[in-house]
Amino acid sequence: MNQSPPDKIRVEELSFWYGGLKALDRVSLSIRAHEIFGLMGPAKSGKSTLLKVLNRLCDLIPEARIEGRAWLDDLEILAPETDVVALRRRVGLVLSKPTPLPRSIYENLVLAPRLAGRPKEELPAVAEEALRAAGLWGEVKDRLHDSALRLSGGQQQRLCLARTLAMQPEVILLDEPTSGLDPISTAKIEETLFQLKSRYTIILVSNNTKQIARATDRTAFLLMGRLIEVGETSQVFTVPRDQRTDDYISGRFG
Amino acid sequence: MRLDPRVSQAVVLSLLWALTGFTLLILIVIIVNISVEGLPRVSLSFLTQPPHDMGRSGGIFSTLVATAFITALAIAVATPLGVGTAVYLTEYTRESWLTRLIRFGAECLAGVPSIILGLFGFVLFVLKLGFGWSVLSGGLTLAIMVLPIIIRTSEEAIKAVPEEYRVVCCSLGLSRWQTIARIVLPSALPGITTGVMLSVGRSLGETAVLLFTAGAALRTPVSLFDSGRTMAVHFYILAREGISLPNAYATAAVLMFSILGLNLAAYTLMQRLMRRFS
Repeated sequence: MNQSPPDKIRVEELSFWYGGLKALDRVSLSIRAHEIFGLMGPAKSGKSTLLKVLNRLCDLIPEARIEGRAWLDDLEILAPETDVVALRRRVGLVLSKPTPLPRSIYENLVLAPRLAGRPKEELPAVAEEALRAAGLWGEVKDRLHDSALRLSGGQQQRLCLARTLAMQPEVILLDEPTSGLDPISTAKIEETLFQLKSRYTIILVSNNTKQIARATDRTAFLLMGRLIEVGETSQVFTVPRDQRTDDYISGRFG
Repeated sequence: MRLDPRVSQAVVLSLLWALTGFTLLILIVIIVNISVEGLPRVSLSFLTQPPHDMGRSGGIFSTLVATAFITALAIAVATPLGVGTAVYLTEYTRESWLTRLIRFGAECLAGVPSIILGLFGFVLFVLKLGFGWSVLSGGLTLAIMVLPIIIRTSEEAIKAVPEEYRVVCCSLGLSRWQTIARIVLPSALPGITTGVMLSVGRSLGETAVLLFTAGAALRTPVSLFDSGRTMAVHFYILAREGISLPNAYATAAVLMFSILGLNLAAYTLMQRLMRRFS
């Protein structure tokens, strides 16, 4: 395999069970630094589960069982001795539903950096930089201390993205970040992702195949917990190697 | 024969209206009755003078102090215990036989008649631990009495905090305790406060427990080990022993309006707090 850009994340033979239910079945893949990596597949294909493993949010799930290994650079993600708080600061997650905390816009942004020990006088700059990166600064700069719950859905989701950026992570996981948004808000988020690519590694989960085709460099197709195909997005969408990938992207199921 | 739905609708509506009206009427009759009988005797000197001649004359100053003292002690003890238990049950445990046992225990505690709780407090605090009839014994027994209310309401309030907040905090690298202290508890505060206010109301009005544990001394309590007579106990003794019905009514009026006023204050405070972030 082409090794020229270094792998940021590597997953090997990863399986995951919710109780007796198998959600991931021996998935192996690697994600390069500074690429937008797309994960697509129908509902219950294991996309979100894979994200939850990568920042150990799966620790919150009772009766979860994991086999296999995963690395972030040289850090073994699933090792028991791994510092999960430090890991989660390096691997940020944006959920599908906009979930601002019931605080001001500013508080949402600086909560994590403050607890991570950033000096107080740096926080306003951190907040501004994150809002600019998420393309929200112009819309909210005059009301940073208003409740975040008063923003529109699209603005809330960009705030969530900004909140993740304010942690200064290395990897950003996005779990169907535009599923509840209108086309304009969606376009704004996709545009933001393009601009962020140079500084972050981005994994975008979506069940919208058009979005995956538009916004990603490489794509993996998951089906019922199995990795069916992975490759350059242009290749996956034009000459898929697997019949099931072809069926999925041309809308014959899922 | 079947009734015209419009007719049955009208019948049911007026019936429900009448039932609601009747309930409201009872409340109004009580409030009006106590106000009319009691309020005329309530004055500044009634509130600031100590009782004379067993309460036949003079004011209720010492009972006001005892009531505030005992209630404050009960709430100060029960709130951290209750909220702590609720946090533990909801945030730190998964549903198991142990949590069910703790919850069942709290429910049982809530079901114990207050007079029996009073006897328990008498045996444990007054006799065994040697606190005597005192503010301390009374406050601690009241704390046990209101503990289930605080646990229950706090648990409900904490459970009502959206699960996404916890997921978000976790993915932002907050520890479980940071999540609880900074996001969960502040969001649950209105619900927890409701429970605490409910407990304040119960404590202010409780009589049976305090007859056994705090005694009925008419002196103003100045230490935890002094006996103290609360307004509710004072009212009971004045009325039961036929000392002075007018003064009993006046005491009842003060008690009732204190509870009303406290609830109103807590409510407006919460409204103001909640309006900031919604």
